[in-house]
Amino acid sequence: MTQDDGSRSAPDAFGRALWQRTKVAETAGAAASRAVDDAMIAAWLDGRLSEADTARVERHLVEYPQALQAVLDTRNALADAARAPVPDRVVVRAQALVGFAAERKVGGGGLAGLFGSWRRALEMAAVGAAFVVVIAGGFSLGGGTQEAYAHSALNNAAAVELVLNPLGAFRLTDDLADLVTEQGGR
Amino acid sequence: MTALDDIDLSALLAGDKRTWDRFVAAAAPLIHAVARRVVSTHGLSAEEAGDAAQDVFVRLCANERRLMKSYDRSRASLATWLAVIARSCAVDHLRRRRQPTAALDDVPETAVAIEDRHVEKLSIPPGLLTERQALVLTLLYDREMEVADAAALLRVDAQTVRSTHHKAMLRLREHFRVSA
Repeated sequence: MTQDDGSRSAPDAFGRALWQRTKVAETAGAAASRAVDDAMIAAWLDGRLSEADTARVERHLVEYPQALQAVLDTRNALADAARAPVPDRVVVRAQALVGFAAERKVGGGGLAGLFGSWRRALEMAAVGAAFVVVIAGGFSLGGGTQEAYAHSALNNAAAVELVLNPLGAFRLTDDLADLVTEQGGR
Repeated sequence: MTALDDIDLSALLAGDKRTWDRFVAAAAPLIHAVARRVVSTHGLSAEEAGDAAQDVFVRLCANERRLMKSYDRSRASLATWLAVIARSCAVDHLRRRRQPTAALDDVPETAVAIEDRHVEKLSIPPGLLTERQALVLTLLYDREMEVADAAALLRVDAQTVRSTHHKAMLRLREHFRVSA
């Protein structure tokens, strides 16, 4: 390689000045819009685009400095990721975004779905059994069926007495008898 | 820790909780690194990076994981795709969170660049430089990157970058000599 070739194969001030002569700034919208989405940028970074699409992305990167900055940031972040610590809070919050409802949904088919439905049935049975135990326990503490019937029978007898003999039901007969006796004595 | 490449994508897309937890553990360093870079560019705190990272995860699983379902493993690795998506989501997050009443002097100059719509137009005939040649000149002169760094970005060796630069210079010299 000659001296001249060497000076032109490496970046230098002359090359910079020459490159600057090629440019004119335009405002947004003046250039033809060429849609380059995130998926294309990712494919370009991994070198998986066709020749035509590679040229399209590279033209986009030359024309849009902010797009090139995004690519450089992304590449640097990929290099940083392995050695950068992540707060536990970030992981815990993100994991909480998908809950158990989703997990049950996944288990809806095949053998997993079968076990999933059995598990659900067992959960419902356990809740039902606990409900029965609580009801039965509370009923037993209250005296059980015999006492409940006894109270019921007494209440029924009092009701019949009240209808047939209202005064007697309120135990006024003795008082009236005493009153009559007293008045009669006068 | 599970690597991103080991994630069962079909289970992840179906909403499996355990796969999601493994995915989050594997992806969090990358997504947080992207968010931290975006946030620091705009002079915001590390706390904001956590919120921005959370927003990325929210976007990934929103609408029945519609964004995740757009991933095509034949076009890019999951890590690269996630990094690109995370950056876009983090920038959107900052746009939404930006205080409209902040004094202009308090906003770092780099933060203004987020709305930058500047377009570089080349005043040379179309086809004078190939897209690759123009990009190499952009990286070397506008971004002042080392040849080795530009080569790494373009997935070629350094000599290829020098050769591309050399051919581009020859074309520009010829063009401006004739034009002048």
